[in-house]
Amino acid sequence: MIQDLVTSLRTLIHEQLFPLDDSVTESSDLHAAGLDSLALMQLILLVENEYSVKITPGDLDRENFSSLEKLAEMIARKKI
Amino acid sequence: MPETYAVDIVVIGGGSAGICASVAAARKGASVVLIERWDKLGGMGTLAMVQTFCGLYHPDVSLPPQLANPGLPAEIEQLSRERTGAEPVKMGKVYVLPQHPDVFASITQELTSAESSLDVWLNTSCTGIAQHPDESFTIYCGERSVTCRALIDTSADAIVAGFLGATRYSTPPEKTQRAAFIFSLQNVGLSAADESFRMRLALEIVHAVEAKELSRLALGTACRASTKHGEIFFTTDLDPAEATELLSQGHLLAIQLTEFLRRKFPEFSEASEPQLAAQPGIRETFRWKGCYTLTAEDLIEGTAFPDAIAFATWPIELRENTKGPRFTYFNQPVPAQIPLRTLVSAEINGVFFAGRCISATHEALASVRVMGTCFATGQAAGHAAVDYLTVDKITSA
Ligand SMILES: Cc1cc2nc3c(=O)[nH]c(=O)nc-3n(C[C@H](O)[C@H](O)[C@H](O)COP(=O)(O)OP(=O)(O)OC[C@H]3O[C@@H](n4cnc5c(N)ncnc54)[C@H](O)[C@@H]3O)c2cc1C
Repeated sequence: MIQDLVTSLRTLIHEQLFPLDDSVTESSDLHAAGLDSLALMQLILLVENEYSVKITPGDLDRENFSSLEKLAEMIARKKI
Repeated sequence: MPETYAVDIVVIGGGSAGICASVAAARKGASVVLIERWDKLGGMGTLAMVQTFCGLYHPDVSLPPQLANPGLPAEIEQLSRERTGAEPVKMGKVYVLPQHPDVFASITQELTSAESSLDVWLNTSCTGIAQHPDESFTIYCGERSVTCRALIDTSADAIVAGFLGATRYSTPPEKTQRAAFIFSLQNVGLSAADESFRMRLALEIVHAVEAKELSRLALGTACRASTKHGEIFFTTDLDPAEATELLSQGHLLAIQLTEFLRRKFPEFSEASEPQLAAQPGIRETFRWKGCYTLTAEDLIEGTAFPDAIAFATWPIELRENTKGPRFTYFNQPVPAQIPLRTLVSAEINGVFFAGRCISATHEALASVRVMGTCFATGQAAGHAAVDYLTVDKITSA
């Protein structure tokens, strides 16, 4: 499940937000890869629409948006 | 009676490049008129409220910040640091200097008024130009006109090429650099550097857009800390358009966002009315075709030019779509050379250009358009115009 989410997030971000080349692994720092505040808004929008979850102020931990894996874990938690 | 003046050099456009061109020429003894259509100097750095100087420092960030260009770029850097108290900061692979539009306006005023042979014509639009058989020029500004023997185009739009029918480059709409509108709020109880605020702002904007409480344009808004305590700048990314259209979109959004911030964030409950930029931020329009056209390869590979007159240090920063900027860094972390031929017309004698309208490809312009580099090309164009007049005098004597 997490692995599938990581894969689909990677495609989503790569196609719609900023390029993620092979050097970006599931644990790489997304902020370093290009997640600035504008990209963060687009990412929240994409995640909410694509996975039908609602991000809340409580989810706004830098940690949750730090890597593909952490993001996938947060989405998985919210989907239960 | 229409008034007519005669000077050695006319500089059209009082932005980063025009200020340095006119001051540099005046300091070499030329009589100069600087023409600016709005009520203050500084161009994008004051009128559009762009609040960072890029391109001032050597690109090697493993070293302490080191100025890349001597003379006026260094003087402006020093004055800005003294007045704002802001020091250069490292942002990833570059150094930048946070600046303040009000402070920059004062600096430009002081630098230009210190030169007795420089006359600044504010609130004056250049509306036409003629070149005479003896190669001198008349610049028309409504009822007023001025004649000169050398002309420097720092209008950012290569308007002189437009008036004289010389070749200008532009970029196809789908690749043209995006525009923006900037405003600031004062009396805010937090700092834009506060990461948790930035994340919450992002989330609240997304939800307000989804709830149709805010225009979708709000999704392109980023905030930046000011050098003034209690002030935050907001920059909204916009599709390139005419200035009037950009202004009306920007104003509407600034008002919506201010109301939204006051409602959602207690720290904004006492915030001022938005300070709106007088002009929209426009990144790319027309540029000159000079004796040489600078390319991305020249910058990336560090081409050596015998006629180098200024150094570029900013990476190629393309903002062609809503996905945000794309940076390409030079191969070596050393300043890249800009040759004099990119500031000189191949078609019209006596015309020089600097700043955002120098002869460069779309990609190369994405590096050399930053204000630090515009100071340097402006200064070089001012010197080149004086040299042109001096050489001319010797040959005709
Ligand atoms: C949104 C945005 C963000 C940016 N961010 C940065 C940044 O962070 N750091 C950085 O260094 N650079 C930044 N830039 C780039 C930089 O601001 C510009 O490229 C730079 O100001 C260009 O300088 P200039 O002197 O060539 O032109 P400008 O600053 O545009 O000045 C041109 C002047 O010419 C005048 N003019 C034009 N036509 C006429 C006429 N017919 N008659 C009389 N006057 C005329 C204009 O009124 C203006 O004052 C940004 C640009 C934008 C749009």
